[in-house]
This record gives sequence, C-alpha cells and structure tokens, in this order.
Amino acid sequence: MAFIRYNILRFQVESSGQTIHINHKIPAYLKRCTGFLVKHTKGLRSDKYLSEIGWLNLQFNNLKENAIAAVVACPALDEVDDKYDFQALEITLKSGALVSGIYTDTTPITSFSPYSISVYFKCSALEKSTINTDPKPSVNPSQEYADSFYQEDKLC
Amino acid sequence: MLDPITYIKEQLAQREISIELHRFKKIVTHVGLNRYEFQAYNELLFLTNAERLPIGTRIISDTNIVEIGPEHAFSEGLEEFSGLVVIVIPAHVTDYPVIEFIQILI
Amino acid sequence: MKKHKFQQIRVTVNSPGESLRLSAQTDKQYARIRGIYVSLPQENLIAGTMLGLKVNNQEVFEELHEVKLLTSGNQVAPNQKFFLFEEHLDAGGSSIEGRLTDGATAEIAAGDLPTEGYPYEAKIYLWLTNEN
Repeated sequence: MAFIRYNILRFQVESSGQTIHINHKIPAYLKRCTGFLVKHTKGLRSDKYLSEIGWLNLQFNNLKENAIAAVVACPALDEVDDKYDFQALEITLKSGALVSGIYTDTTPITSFSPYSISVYFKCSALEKSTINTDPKPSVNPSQEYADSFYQEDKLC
Repeated sequence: MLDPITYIKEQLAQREISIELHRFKKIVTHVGLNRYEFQAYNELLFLTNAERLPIGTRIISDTNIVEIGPEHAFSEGLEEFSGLVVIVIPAHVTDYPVIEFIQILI
Repeated sequence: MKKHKFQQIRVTVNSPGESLRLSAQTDKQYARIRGIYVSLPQENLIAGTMLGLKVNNQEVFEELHEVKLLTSGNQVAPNQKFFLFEEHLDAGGSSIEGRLTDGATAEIAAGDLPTEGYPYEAKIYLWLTNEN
C-alpha cells in the first residue's frame, strides 16, 4: 500500500524584497511529515550560484509548532549537479491543520526577476512509523542523494 | 471592538501555548536613529498600535514581517512577532512613534 | 512530543571586516542542539569569515573558526549541510553567544576594502531536537 506522499506548497515571488504570507493546508489523510525540501523551481536565472535568494519560516499544526527555518538558494544556469534530499522532520499532523509562515525575498534588486519556490513536504499516510521513512542516519558518500527521492517515490 | 488581551489568551489557548507572563513592552523611537533591534526569543510580541505608526515602518522578525500601510489605520488585527525583532522607521518621518506590544513570555 | 526544529539567528554585517557580537536564546521546547549551518548571501563572502560560538558560556568554536567549515554549496544535499555536534549540547532555552568576523581584507594592490554586498545578513541555523 502506498504510504509516502509529497505534498507541495508552491508560490511565485513577483518583486524584490517581497514578503509572502503563507497559509497552506496539508490534506487530512496525511498523518505525519517526516521531511522537507525547499527548491527554487523557475525564473530568476543567474550565471553563478546564488547562495541566498530568500528565507522561509513555517509553523505547523495551526501555529502550534514552529519547525522550519531555511534559506533558499538558486543554482547557476548551467548547474546540473545540485544535490537534494529531504531535511529530517518528525511532525504528527493534526487533521486538516494549517501550515503558516512567511517567505521573504532577499535577492539584490539589480539581479531580481520573478521566480517560483516549491516547498516539498515528505509525508506519510500512516499514523505511526511502521516503516522507516526517515533519512538514513549515515550516508555512503558515493550514494546519489537524488536516488532516495525516486526510490521512495516508486512506492507511491 | 476587539479586546487584545482576550483575543491573545483565547488564541494561545487554541495553540496550546501556556503563558508564563504577559505585560506591555514599549519601544520609544527618537530622532537620529531609524533602526531598532531587540530579542524576543521564547516570547511572542503582539503589536497593539499599528494604526498610529508611520506608513512604511517595517517590523522584521523570525516569524513575521510587516510593513505598515494605509490599511493598518482601519484594521484591528494584531500582528505577532518572535525571535530577533528589527524595526525600521522611514527616513522622512517627523513624528517618531512609541511602538507598543503586548509581550508574552512562554 | 516535538522532535525537530530549525532555529534561525540573524546577524547584520554592515561593513567589510566588521567583527560583531551575537546573542540569542534557543527554543525552550527542544533539549539538544544537534547541528549548525551558516549561510551567507554570497559565496564570495565566505572566505576568511569566522564564527566564534558559546553555548551557556561554554566555548564550542573559537573566534577563529572559519565559516567555510560550517557551510556548504549546492553540491551538498540539504540534509547533509549541517555540521553535527558529536557531544550533547543543551538547548532548552540556552544562551547563545558568539562573534562573527567578516572575512574581507584590503587587497594589497588596491589598498581598499570591498564595498559590494554590504550590508548583509548572515544567518546561523541551529538544528534543535528532542532525540538523543
């Protein structure tokens, strides 16, 4: 039975210095959030890697749990080897509860153009951790991190 | 009309946050200084006089960022802040405000 | 019980080469600081920048500790970016103190400090947890 789902919060940043207030519902059938990943998805392309284009702060379960603070980077135009895997979380989701918070853009005004951000919530439809969905505690350096995303995705 | 203390108590009860202490906190601004920074870790600050702040005043915290606009003159909503709080007063103001919060220690 | 939190500490650097004290407090609801990650808004600010850190007045990093060792680029997956502390560091409302020193130095040839990119905000992320 499928138990892992990737719930996606996506928003568009239209102006330099913009603050976006976020109110997002994770579907009620998802019981736990076991990881998150914040990605620049489109727009704002640069020749060089931008280590910060904005930062994010999110609270789960109707403002009860302030769990996420993260900076968002933007890969260079020709960068293909950026790695991604989910940052560990372990939040028991209240049914239909809000994820609330802010994203604020910090891109220098001279290099700004509109862009999209996606926040992936790695969630489980199971109440308890009968199957380990957490990131591995130790990772073989030769392992491709991206693989773990797709391997688990195949379970869905 | 909204009673801020009642609203805050009810909301924090909904959020299962117990209040160790609530009291008033004032930031007095003055000529020659446009940026004020203070800490509110393990605290919540509710802004109570947004309608009297100069348009363009920015309050930046770890959990909320607000820029005072014309709409705040007609709003009873209470903005909430936590973590490191930075207040930036616009450069053109002539009347420097006192910024009032209800401070909740949790 | 709440298990993980990522807490942000912001430090504003106004001018090249500036050295400034920082202080903060960890969230009371989490027992342990598991790791740290430092983010600067541009990669060229990283070289030479140093971070000293004390938790409850106990030195964790000397003031000469390079930020380069506490940060990472896009080639590192998000869940591998944090420098993990091997020993138990108390969170639970601990006081965090430290010193951030910007790495800019005057170019010998030019004699001037760089001005581009200032002021900027350095961000220190603490990974707090209630797990052992």
